[in-house]
Amino acid sequence: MDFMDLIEMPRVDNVKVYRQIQNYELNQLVTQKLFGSLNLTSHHLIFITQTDLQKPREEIWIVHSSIDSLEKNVTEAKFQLMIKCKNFQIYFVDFPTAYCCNSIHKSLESLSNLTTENMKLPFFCQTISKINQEDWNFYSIEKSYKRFFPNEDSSEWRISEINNDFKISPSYPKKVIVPKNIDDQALIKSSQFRSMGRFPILSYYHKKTNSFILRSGQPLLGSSNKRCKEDELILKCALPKGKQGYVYDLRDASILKTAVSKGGGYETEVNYPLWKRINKHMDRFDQLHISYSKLIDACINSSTQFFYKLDTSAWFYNIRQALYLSFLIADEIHNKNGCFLIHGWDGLDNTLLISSLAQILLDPESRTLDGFIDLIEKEWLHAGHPFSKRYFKSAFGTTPQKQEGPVFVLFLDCVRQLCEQFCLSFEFNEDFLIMLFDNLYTSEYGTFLGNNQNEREQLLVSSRTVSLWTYVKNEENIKKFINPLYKINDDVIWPSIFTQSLSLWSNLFLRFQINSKPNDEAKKEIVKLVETNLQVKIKVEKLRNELLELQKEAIDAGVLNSENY
Amino acid sequence: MKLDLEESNVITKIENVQLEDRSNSKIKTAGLLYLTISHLVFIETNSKREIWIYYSLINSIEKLPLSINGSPILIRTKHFLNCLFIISKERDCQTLVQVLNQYSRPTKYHELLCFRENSHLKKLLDSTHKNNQQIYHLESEYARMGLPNNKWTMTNLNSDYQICDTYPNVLFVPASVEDKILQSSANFRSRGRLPVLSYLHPNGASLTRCSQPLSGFNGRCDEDEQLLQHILMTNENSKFMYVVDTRPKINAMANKAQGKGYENETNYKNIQFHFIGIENIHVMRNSLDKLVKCADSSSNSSFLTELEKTEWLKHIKAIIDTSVFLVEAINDQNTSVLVHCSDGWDRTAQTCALASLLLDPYYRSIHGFQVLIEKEWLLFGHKFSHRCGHLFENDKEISPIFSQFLECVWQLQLQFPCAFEFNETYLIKLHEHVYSCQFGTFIGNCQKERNDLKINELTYSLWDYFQSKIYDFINPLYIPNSFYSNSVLRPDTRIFSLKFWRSLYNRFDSAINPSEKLIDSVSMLSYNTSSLQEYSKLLEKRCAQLKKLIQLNKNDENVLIDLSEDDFEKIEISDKNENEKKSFEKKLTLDEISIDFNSIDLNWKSTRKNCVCYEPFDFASSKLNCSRCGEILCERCVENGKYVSHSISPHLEQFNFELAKSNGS
Repeated sequence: MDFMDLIEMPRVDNVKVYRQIQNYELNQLVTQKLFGSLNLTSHHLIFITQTDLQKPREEIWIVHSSIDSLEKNVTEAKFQLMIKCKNFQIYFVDFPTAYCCNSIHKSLESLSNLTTENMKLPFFCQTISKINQEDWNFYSIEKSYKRFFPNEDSSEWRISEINNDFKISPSYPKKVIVPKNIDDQALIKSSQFRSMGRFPILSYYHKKTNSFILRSGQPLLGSSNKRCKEDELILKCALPKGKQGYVYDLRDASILKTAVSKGGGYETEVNYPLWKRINKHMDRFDQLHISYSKLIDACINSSTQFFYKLDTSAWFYNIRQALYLSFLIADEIHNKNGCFLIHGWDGLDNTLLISSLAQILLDPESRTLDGFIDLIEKEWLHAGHPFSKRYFKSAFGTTPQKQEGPVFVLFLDCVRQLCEQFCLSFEFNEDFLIMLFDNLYTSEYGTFLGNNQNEREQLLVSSRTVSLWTYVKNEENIKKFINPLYKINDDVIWPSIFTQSLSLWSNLFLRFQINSKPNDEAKKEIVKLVETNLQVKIKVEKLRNELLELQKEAIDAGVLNSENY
Repeated sequence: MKLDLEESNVITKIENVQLEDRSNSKIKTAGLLYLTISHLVFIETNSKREIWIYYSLINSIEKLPLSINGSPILIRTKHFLNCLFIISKERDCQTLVQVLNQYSRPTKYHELLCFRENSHLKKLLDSTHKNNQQIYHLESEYARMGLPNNKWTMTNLNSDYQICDTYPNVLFVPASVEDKILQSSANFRSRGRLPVLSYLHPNGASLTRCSQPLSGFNGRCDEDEQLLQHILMTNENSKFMYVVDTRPKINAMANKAQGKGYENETNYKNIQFHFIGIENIHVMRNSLDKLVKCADSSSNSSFLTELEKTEWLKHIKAIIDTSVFLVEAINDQNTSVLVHCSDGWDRTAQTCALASLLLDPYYRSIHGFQVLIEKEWLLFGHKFSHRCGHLFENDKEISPIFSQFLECVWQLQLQFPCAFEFNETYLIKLHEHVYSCQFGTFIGNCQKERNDLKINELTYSLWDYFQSKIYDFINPLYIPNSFYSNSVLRPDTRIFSLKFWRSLYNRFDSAINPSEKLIDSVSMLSYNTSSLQEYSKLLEKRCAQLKKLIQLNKNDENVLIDLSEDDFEKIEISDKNENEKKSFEKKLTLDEISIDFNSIDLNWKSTRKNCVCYEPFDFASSKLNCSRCGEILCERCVENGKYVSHSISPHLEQFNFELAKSNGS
């Protein structure tokens, strides 16, 4: 299939585009009306205003894949298309004829819903920057292993390459960390007993207390009540003496029977005597998608009962729950003797959310820019979070398959809440999180393509697209993402999880409605203050050295009385 | 503010008391309760953490049902501290309630704290200039607006409060108007509160304020109508003016039946009449009650729904919306506005003050904001003592009208972080002291009453106290010349832009507030910078001194050296006087250089850390860095001079010299 087959009408003239823009002086939204032509290319909708002596030419570029939903409103007098983007921007386009409107609508419907990974934007954006293999290999399991176990010999854990060909578990990476005295055969057996072949692997090791987090898919007991000795052995071997194991099952206890009847299940106390199972409810990704849609709806149509609508969207419930559960895990790991196995259904969504949030609380490294990128690589990309499926649509759209669910958006929001509560402890800033959000849905970079490492390898992502980290690491860009007030905090951070402690992510969810200028001004001022402070410190250091030298000279010359010293 | 227990008069002591953590009822801390004549003090046995509560701040004392541990008593304060004490002996509990009832319910002004001897404030304020209050003359503020001029004049008609006892003794009115018109207008207005000037914009449009007319259904007053015409005429840029009744129309209608009401548009020429619905004091009081409950039930997962039900932010929105209406009329349409509500001392004060703040950047400075409060609130007779319940009298008069104004300003600070010279802590502390009765500033209901009480002579001024610790209140992000600080502020009043003021309503819930406070670290950064700048000057001087000393040695002994520029040592060495030269050498010892050298710590401790004395639980408590060792100190330790070996950032010389003196260095 070629893009050109999808474009019936590459250009329409006499089009009106309406969008809301911020009038900074009046501090209010005004509707901007533009006249011009609309052009379709393989990846973009480009609107160009008519040249006018008074006004310079303006262009609006909308990437097809950034379109979340299209609503056609054709009456006798009006031929209008409403374009809702995945970043919450909304455009209204008036066409001169019904025919153009229908034609463009049809083309955009196809172009914005392309499922073929190979046709996605990053494969056509190789020129934005040189493909840098180093950035593609920024993270490796060996890196994590070295961080967790600086001394390999005394470690009870090893790297297994059992999944090297992605056969055992297609959604797992090639290499995983498992208990040292469990052989690969046992892993294979365990993988057959776990949903999607996701046998228990090490997610995080807390050096300070030698406690850890494992994660997996649910065990496949089924109604015949199967068990797997090797799986039991993994959990038994993993747990050192004196530690208490907890299976954190992120599903409500009431749902377990249904899970069993569908071939899934849970770890029974009889077969896993050392491990205590705790069921904690988290909304599943499809429910979360509904929550997200309600949240954005409240933000956009917020004239009445705004707080009530926010509440009923359950978005804050999900943030609280996610932070609360990771808080409990961090508390057990750091202050008590708990070790964890986390899973829900397949261990692709909430499992990763909770394990990565717990690490942010526990591990100061993950609060640095590089450490955070490592965390995203390890806990989301390598862990097989299905990015392609989950972020195919945003808050306005759905697909019949209902595979979308903004789990990673919830993760970003939770991290932002933490950044707000611990404004000195994170090296990166809110803009970095917003940049990640934007690239999640539509990107020129290949990082979030596919659903797991296996798919990315088949697509040759690393040789055909540029990594998002290449963009981030660029000297000019990285400055934008650094928190000027960052001071390393070696402690575990304990977040507040009261609703009052949480805030709506205005700079993201209300980004096209509020005036961010006064706040940007404040951010710039902080950067300025930090720079001035640094300059003064350098000056003082220099003067101190000068004084010390002069002092020495004076003593040598015998002009300075050193008796009292 | 906290004192030393030794200095306070302890009435009784209660042992075996437990304080329950409000965010987690399982956590209880054991300690001792002291009841002094002015405070309730709880000292935790283990941590030595102290909680001091002024009786004047106590809002309610509630005995809860007996539990196994003892009798629980819930104390709620007006600045939103909630303490649940569990007292093991029932008899102690009775004593507590009895003492509190006796001491926390003053019925006469002279029983209030501010009239009592206060050694702490004496120490703090007597050395500095006393009684700043008098600086705020109404005339000087109007002079700042260029008044009197040919349009507006000052009248002494009210010099003895004869036409209106709740107005100031100096009023500004149109220059063209005769006294008898003013007199008649006052007679036609509720409580004599005739239309007078509040604020004059540079474009000539004015903001005037008054109370409702006593019009009833058909009443009219020719002179009152004339007065409005005179006000309209002062502004050449507009053919009409607005009269804004800030009440909901239904309330104004109800007043008609009582012989009051609103202006009949047909009687007044060229006025446009507007109702804008801000609810009355009773609705606001009930709304706050709900809000406090909503904030308190911190484990309540439906907080947002509860918040919606309180309608608090809806009321805040109404006040800001009304002020924006005034701003648009005055600034954008060049049209004058006359504002009133019923008596013109609640909603009128809120909206006139807020509109002035939006219109004129001066009111966003620390000094300007004080002037604004003095003018619109204190002088124009907002009934602080009634509204804040300073005395134990009519509960129905209590209403958080001024608090709402502070909250509106806070909402603006949030939207325009660089436009205000003062910070959030300033507002929170102001809120506290409006109720605390420690200072005379907000005591009484109008200027006349304050004069009668001799407030200026007998009490300390809150403004002086604030001035003495101004470093706590400066917004480090204030950019005086930026677009938003220089121009008319246009707030976003859509409901999603209004926030719940967590740091006020949950001020003492440390589990709810962020662990790391952004503004603290930014303040620290800017103080650190200014300290280091001072320090680098010192180093430069030392270097220069040493250079000269070395030079002196190399050259002929008789070389002329002038060190008079050095104001640190203030030594002049005359060429021939060997003794003086020796004394100079003696002065500059290694020891001294090393003291200078170590007089400052380059890397101050992060504000993440707490003071060595105890863990603060008050979100508004400030943290300061000792510039010498970089350690964090709390406000209380600094104020009590407990940690005199530390020195606080030198940028506030006055205060720090104090510290330095007691330090003996």
